[in-house]
Amino acid sequence: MIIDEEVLAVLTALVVVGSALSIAMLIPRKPEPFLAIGLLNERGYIGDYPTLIVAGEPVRLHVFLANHLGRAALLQVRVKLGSRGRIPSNSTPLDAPALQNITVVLEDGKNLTAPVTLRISEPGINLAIVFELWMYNTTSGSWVYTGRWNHLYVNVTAPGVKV
Amino acid sequence: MMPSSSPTLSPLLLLFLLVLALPGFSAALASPQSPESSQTFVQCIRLAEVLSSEGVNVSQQVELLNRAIRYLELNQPEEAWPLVEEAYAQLSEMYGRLPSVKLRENLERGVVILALAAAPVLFYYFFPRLYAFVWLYNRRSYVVRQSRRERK
Repeated sequence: MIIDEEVLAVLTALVVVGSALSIAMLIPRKPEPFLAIGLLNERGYIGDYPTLIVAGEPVRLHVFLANHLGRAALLQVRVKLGSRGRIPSNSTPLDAPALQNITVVLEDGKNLTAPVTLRISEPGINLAIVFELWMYNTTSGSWVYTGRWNHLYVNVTAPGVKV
Repeated sequence: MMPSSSPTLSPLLLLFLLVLALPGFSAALASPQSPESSQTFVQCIRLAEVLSSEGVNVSQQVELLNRAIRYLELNQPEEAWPLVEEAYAQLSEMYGRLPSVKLRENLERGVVILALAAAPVLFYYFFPRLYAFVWLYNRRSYVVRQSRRERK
């Protein structure tokens, strides 16, 4: 035999490993599904968020959304106004009216960075701008709170007041 | 004397009622501003969920639905609902083709997995023969001569 038996065995072992890995990659898997929401500043970066804003003046932020549910989904970000100690939990949304909604259909594996412009009319200290992520449940025909949210504490001053 | 407008009004009224009866127009007049209040839109989302969970590419239809949502936010339902109808038509067609697409995909995947599983056996059997063939082919012009040195 031209090829040594041991050499052939090693080469065959390499082919077996390569074949097994290729088969493992071909078999579809269901990874842990999750949704993500993030808050970005005016320029679309993490950090450097506004902390002091003037009532009635626009506050510009970005909201980042990512869908890894394994399917497309109709998502909605509800922007609400809370305060220190009055923010949502993992199970309960904030009991406050939405100032603004961002509705989008997001495919699996895709993300979106959406600009948000808010105006807070009333001055206040330690106010929380809350961004809740909701998902439309097509079975029940209603919006469901996903338990994901972000918040940003701000102080809102009256127009013309120097700080 | 009564004006003679009633005979001319009735065809106009009939035309108006006919236009109202058109599904797109009546949907536009109803103009629910939240997209999920439209059954067609909800059906689109349901189909997009099912199709995308099966690995079907629904990017174009999702784009149409997102454009429809933007139009609804701008309070332009007459622009939004045709997009939703278009997305629904495309998604319905794709959903109808889903079983055959899935069958073909599974068959293709099965064939590839079988080929990969057979590769080591085929390699073990054929590689030494192929190697020997190539080895001999490359030495086909060699001439074997008797050596002058005698064997001890």
